Parts: sequence; C-alpha cells; structure tokens
Amino acid sequence: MTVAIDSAPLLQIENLRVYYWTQAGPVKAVDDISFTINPKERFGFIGESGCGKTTTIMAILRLIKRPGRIEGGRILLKGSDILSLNDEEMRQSRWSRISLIPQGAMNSLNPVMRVQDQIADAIVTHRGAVPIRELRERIGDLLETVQLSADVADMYPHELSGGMKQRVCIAMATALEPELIIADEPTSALDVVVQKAVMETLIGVQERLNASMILIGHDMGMTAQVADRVGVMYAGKLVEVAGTRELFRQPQHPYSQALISSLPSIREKKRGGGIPGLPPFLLNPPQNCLFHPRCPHAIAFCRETPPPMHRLRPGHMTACHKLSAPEQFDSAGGSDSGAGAAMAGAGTEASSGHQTR
Amino acid sequence: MSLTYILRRLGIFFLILWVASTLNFVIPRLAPGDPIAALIGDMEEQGATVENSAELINMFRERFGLDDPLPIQYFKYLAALARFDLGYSIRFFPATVSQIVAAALPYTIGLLTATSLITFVLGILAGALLVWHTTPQFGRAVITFFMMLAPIPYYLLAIIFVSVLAFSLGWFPYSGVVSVGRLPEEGFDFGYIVDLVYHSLLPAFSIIIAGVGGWVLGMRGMMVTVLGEDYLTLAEAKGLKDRRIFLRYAMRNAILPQFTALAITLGYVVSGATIVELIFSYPGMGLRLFEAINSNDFPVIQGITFFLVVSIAVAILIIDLIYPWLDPRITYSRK
Repeated sequence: MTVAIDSAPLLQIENLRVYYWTQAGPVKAVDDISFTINPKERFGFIGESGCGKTTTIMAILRLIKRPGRIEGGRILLKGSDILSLNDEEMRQSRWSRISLIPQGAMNSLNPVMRVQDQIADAIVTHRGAVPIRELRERIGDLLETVQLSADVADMYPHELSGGMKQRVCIAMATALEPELIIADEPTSALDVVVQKAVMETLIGVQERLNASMILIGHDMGMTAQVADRVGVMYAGKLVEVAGTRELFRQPQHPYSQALISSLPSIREKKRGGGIPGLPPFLLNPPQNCLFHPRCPHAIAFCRETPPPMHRLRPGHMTACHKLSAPEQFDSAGGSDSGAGAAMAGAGTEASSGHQTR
Repeated sequence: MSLTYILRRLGIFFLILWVASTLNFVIPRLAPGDPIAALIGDMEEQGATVENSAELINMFRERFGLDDPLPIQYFKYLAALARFDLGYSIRFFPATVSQIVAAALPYTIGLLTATSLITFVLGILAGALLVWHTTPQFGRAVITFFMMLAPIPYYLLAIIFVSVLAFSLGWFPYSGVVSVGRLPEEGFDFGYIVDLVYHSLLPAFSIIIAGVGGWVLGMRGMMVTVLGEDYLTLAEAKGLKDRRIFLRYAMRNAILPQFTALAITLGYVVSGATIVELIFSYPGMGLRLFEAINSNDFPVIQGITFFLVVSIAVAILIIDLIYPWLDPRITYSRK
C-alpha cells in the first residue's frame, strides 16, 4: 500500500513531552517527539519496553494519569490541537474520533457487563439513545465484521476466549467509525495462530473504515508486515522514522540497526545479536544522545551535543550525529566508546547490519 | 442457576440450623449455675422466705423438664423447636419465649435494619468517593475524619451522646422507645411514629457514626484495586461520562465483596445491639438477651440465639442465591 505523501496529515505530533513527576524528580517518558500520521496510514511503533510507546499514545488520548503530565507540545488532529480542548470536548472526541484497542484485552472488558452493554455504552454516550432493536442490530453487525457470531452480544467476558475478547475490543473500537484507531499491542496476549487471524481482522476493519492506525507491538515481525511506516523509539525519544520496507532493509540509526539485527532470520544462521548494556535509567539519563553509552560509533561529540532529527531523504528521518554531522566523525577518527568492541562490524549499511558469526 | 443447586443449598441451610440448634442446646447446659436455684436464691435475697425451697426447686425442674435425662430433653427441645415453640421463660414465667421475642423484635429490627442499611450506603459511597479523582479535598478530609471514628466502640459514643446530648443539653430523650405513657392511637398515628423515631435517633447515630468507617475502609480498598484495572482505562478511553464510569464500572465492581458482608451484618440484626440498648434502655433483643444471660434464663437465651442463627442462615442463603445475578462470573454448576 502506498500513501500519498503530499496529502494533509491526519495527526501531527509536534515536540510532545510527557514527564512523570516522581519524588526523585521528573522522568522524561516522552521527550520532544514529533511525527505525523497520514490518512489511511498504518504507523507502527517499535522499541524496548519502557521506551515511551504507550505513554505517547495515552497522551494522544489525553489519558495520562498522575504523576504523569503532558508538559508541552501540540497534538493536531486534522489541524486542531486536542491539547487545547476542555475536558468535556476531549471526552466527546475520545472514541468518536480516536479509539483504542488496549494492551491486554483480556482485562479490558468489564467482567460484570454483557458485551452488548459495553459496546452500547460507547454508542449511546456519543450518539444519544438508540431504540434497543436498532442497537442490537448494529452491535450484531459490528460483531460480524470481526468474525464473531451475534450471540456473543449476550455473553459476559469470562465466557469468551482470549481471541474472542480481542475481537470484541476491535468491534468496540470501530463502533463509532473513528478517524484514528490506536492499537496497543493488540495481539501480544494471543497465541501465534490467533494473532495472525486477529491482525487480519483488525486490518480489514481499518481499511473498510478508511481510518488511520497507530500500532504498537513488541513483535517486530508483525509490525514489519502490517505497518506502512515505522517509528523507532528509544528512552523517550523518537530516533528514526521511515517507510517500513526501507527501515527494515536499511536501518540508519545505530539503535534501529541493533534492534532490527536482533531479529532472528530464517535465511541466515546467526546468534541472536543483543544490544550490549541496558536502556538508560530515565531519572538520570545520559546527556544529549541517549544512546551513546551503548552505541558502537559514539564519539565525544555525541555526549556533548543533542542529535537533531535529520531528514535523510523524503520520508526518512533519523536523529544521529553520524548521519547529520558526518564531518565530526572524520575528525574524531572512529569510535572511542567501549561498547564499540562488542558491536564491531555492525556498519551503517543494512547488508552489514546482519552479522553472521 | 440450576434447581439442583437451589435444593442443595437449601439442604445446607437446614443442616446449619440443626447443628446450630444442637450447639445451642448443649452449651448453656455446660455453663455453671442452676437457673432454678438462682431464681429461688434471688427471691430469698429479696427477703421472701421460701418454705420447702428444695421441693420448690424440684417442682420447677420438673415443670421445665430439667429433670429428664439429657437425650430426652434434647429430643423434646428439637420437636418443640420445629413448631417454633421455644418454651417458657424461667425468669418471666408464665411469659413464653416467643412472646418475649415478639415484643422485642420489632424495635430491634426497626432500629438495626435501618441503621445497618444507612451505615452501608454511607460507608460504600464515602469509601468510593475517597479515592475518586473528582472528589474535592474537603470531601476527602470529612471522610477521613469518619474513618478515624471507626475504631471507637459504638457504646462509647453512645455514652457520650447520652451524657452530653440527652442529660446535659436535654435535646434528646435518654431512654425508652416512646415518651412515657405514650400509646399508639387507633389507625395511623403519625405523632406516635415521630415520637418513636425521635427516641431512636441517639442510639441510631451512635451505631451509624461508629460503623461507617469500617465500610469506608473496605470499600476504599476494593476501589483502589478496581481503579487499577484495564477495563477502567478503556471505559475512560471510550469517552464515557465520569459519573457512568464511577457507578457502572468502578463502584459496581468494587461493591461485590461488600454485599456478602452486608448480608452477614443484616443477619446479625436480630441479636440486637446489646450495649447500646442497655445504655438507652431500648427494649430490643439485645437488652432481653443481656437480662436472660444474667439470670441463666436458658429458654430465652436459646430462643434468641435460635432466632439469630435462623436469620443469619437466611441472610446468607439469600445472598448465595442472588450472587450469580450480582456477579455473573459466579455460577453454581458442578463440574
């Protein structure tokens, strides 16, 4: 699927910052990230646990809970900033414009309400009272779009399997035909066979509604298959955004390269390449480039200057000095980082990104 | 819910009644002291000369069936119980236990059912509001204050109320259920009801104020758990109105365990609030039970205890039967 780059974006995130105010100080869970999502586009987020993916999407729904707070930036939905809406306006926008397929659909349905009542809740709140007959019919249709029988409407969540609950969540998320569907690890609790079927269902309804979708997943293989564009997050920063094919074939940021090379490959016999070190402790993060302590290419410049988001070519952005200021690396004469030894050989070209041992 | 379940549950109900009434028979007879001797002793203390006291004791013992061997007493007791014949009070002979209970029960049930339900509703709401994000700071402070009262025994509050509000200030009556000599008139007597309620205000307040805190604590704990559930986040993401999330998603789920506690509380209602009734001379079951225990009045003790057992068993039977409706996850089918 191709996406017209010149069409007006559906969602523009500009310099979004979300901090959690702990007693020890602010944790910059999302720090100055910008990206756009085009109409009908599927945008994937990848990155390690705790890198800020879920915080980012919760900020888009304005569901950040204390001690978290949106500190700054703009979230433009079709050009208007949802951060400037009052609470009531925001409540009305939720679900009717932006819906969520939650992480852990297992526990996301109210255990003491029938499926029908939970879906009806969303419809009636936003669209006003609907005659019960019509409502039942509508909910039956919705359940059919996710390959569930209409009888499921009368069941309680505990009577459904995991995959069925996930489908109910998808049906619910599409009930009001929103412009943007946010799917937070929609398949992570399911087994592989069910994962594929649920994902196909999800994509089916998204395409039918012409909605855009943000997809978060630990499963990079799944993201690679489904997303049109992918953003790589690291420690609250967006480090690279590119078309899916381009990103997975030729990742440019050293973190993206390491992350993607850690994927097992059928073609090549290799040991799973991990990334040396641990993600930074966000209460006391490294200065400037957050990845420099683990980066094989890091030089003193990386510790001293924050890397700007740099446009490599249309549609491919990355935040790495090696790509935006290569002259610094010429003068430094290569790596001065201890982590470099462990990552030796992982070059900037995709072909060498897969390391054979 | 299946018919087999209901039948099985009813079977358990009757089993509980049998075990309880048997214990009820055995335990008072293990206690030291002879009720008849105590009665005669009382009479002698009051200056009455009791001629042939030994004979009198034997006569009474025969009359109350206390000279039968224990197994015979036991079967007579069970047979009578089945007919709700609880025998005569030893202390207030010839009043029957049923008469004594019937006279005391309405006051106790009226006072305690009302206060239990009020306490429950207040406590549950306050507990839920205490952790809800829109509750103002002031509201939280008030609720916290009532939580602090929870460990104060209700009878201590009752004593304070009697001494300050009734004796010193004279705002409330300090004893009885109606003004002295007040009798209900024919038909609907509104004034009588007002008088009745007025007399029960202080005992009611002491029970409510001391009781609310416990419910607040329980409900707050459950609410905190429920507020962390994923389905609450999703309800919010659905753009539901705050009040609906509070009632239908948060409270609805957090209240479930509280219903079991409520059923048990209501079951205990018939035993009365002994100490409060004593302090306010409120002629309910608690006061009668207290008098009966003081005078070794076996039949009355047994009668009141039996009523207590029946009412708790009934309350739990009811909660068990309606629980699947409250929480659909609970089904009573046997695997």
